[in-house]
Amino acid sequence: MTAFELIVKGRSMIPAFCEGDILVVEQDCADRIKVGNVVVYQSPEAEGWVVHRVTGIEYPNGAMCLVTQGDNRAIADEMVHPDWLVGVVVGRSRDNRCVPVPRWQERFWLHFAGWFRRVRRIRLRLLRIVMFLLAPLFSARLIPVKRVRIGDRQLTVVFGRVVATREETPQGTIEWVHPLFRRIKRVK
Amino acid sequence: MEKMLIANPEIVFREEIDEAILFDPRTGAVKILNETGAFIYQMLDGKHDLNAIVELLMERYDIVDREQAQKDLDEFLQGLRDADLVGELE
Repeated sequence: MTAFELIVKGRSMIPAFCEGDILVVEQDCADRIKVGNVVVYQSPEAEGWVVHRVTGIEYPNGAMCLVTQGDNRAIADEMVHPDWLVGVVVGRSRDNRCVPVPRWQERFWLHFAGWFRRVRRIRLRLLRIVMFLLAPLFSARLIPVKRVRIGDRQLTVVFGRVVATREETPQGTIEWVHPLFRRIKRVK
Repeated sequence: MEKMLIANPEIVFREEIDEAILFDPRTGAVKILNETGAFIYQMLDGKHDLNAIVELLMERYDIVDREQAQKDLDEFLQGLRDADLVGELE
């Protein structure tokens, strides 16, 4: 039995796993996978590894295939063939030791991730209203907006969060503004 | 006027026992800091200038040679700058 550590990149497993979480992944355990486990796989058509939850196990043509989906994704991935499997997430790494992910937690997120997605959508709508109300405070400079220069990139930071970026590249300037802040002139 | 250094807000900072891990979600790059490095990184909050950080370091680690502490800090910060882990507040 071999295991390795993996750092989560991306937001598809929020709230169970966030960007920067260090996971412990066990290899060679395809035969012990249960619905609710989080697996790491690499699809032949995609770049990089995917860390998603098993929501079903099916046997098309007699061979086992996994149905997987990110907790923060509304639709399931394509069927995962066992050959694509890299391993199963068995825990998180904390202070150089593995803290196992309990089975109840896997079951909880399996059943309630959908509810959390709905709550997040409602939260987003509420935030849009809050941003609409806060817009005059930005214009009146009552809310601090920081500009941070990191190499060739300029970041705009509000309440410790990056809400806009501007990057000078040989191809031109690439700008990104968080959708909630697009109406606020001061962050552009 | 000296520009204030600030930790890159896009970097995920994880504190562990005796060390900290910096993770850049854009590139997937990881850097491990020892306890002193982690302390300095946390002081890069846009409120402490370099002199204040040197003072804090000298107090925390009972350093008497200010010049050496300043030199070590500059060297450490240059490494962070080169890796785009810190920036300047404009």
